[in-house]
Amino acid sequence: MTTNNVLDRWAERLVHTEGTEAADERERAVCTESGAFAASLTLYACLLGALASAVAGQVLVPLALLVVAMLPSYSMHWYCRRRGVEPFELLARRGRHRLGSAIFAGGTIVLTCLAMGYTVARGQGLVPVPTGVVFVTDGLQEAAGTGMALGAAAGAVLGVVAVALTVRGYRRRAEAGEPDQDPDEPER
Amino acid sequence: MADVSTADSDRRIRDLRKSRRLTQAELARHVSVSRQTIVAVEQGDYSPSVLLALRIARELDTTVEHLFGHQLDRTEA
Repeated sequence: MTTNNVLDRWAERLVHTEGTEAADERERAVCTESGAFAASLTLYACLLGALASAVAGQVLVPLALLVVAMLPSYSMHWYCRRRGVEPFELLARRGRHRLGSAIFAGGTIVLTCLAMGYTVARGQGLVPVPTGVVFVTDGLQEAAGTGMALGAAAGAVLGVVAVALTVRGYRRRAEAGEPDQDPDEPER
Repeated sequence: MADVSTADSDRRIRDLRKSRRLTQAELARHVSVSRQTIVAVEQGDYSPSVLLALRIARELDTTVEHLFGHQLDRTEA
């Protein structure tokens, strides 16, 4: 759907950065589904992470995770409304017996906020995590930090190279031509 | 309306394509989609858009109703 609004055009461009311009309609649908799956997975992981860290006595970490968890939801609602779809109305159409995911998300947010409130009020988490114990020496900690940073950088470079090689492989296969025969059809 | 079994009805595109001596890849090229999409349509795993249905029907020299009408019968059953 193309509109003249700058915001809508920007949102559309953001949607199309996934490289699906060359895809046909089924491939685009599958990519969209996989994006929704990834967003749901991220949302639940962030909510559970927020609850766990809040119970352990953290305040800023769960707050950041809650913001990250809510971002896909708010952006989805914003996008839907701009295209004339009301997500809450869709939720209402599903009926009470199928509101499990919404109840789970809302409940987790409430519990996280309660745990954060407890931490702020009492000065410690529901499940106190010992902080005074030194597990590693300063030197070892520094080496571990450097190793982690270098490992992450090397992993990122390797990831980019792997993606580039995979794309090149597909291009070569496309140039060579797909097998032009159904697997169950006799050779012509 | 006569009941058409799922296996029979899903084979319509396949049978028509074969009768015109087209491979899945050739049909895919003619209607500008990937071969996997033709496979999914033939297996009944994917319902194409109106435009793609029209393109496939035109390519196989038949009607959308003939190719996909049974899917509507199935959902209404």
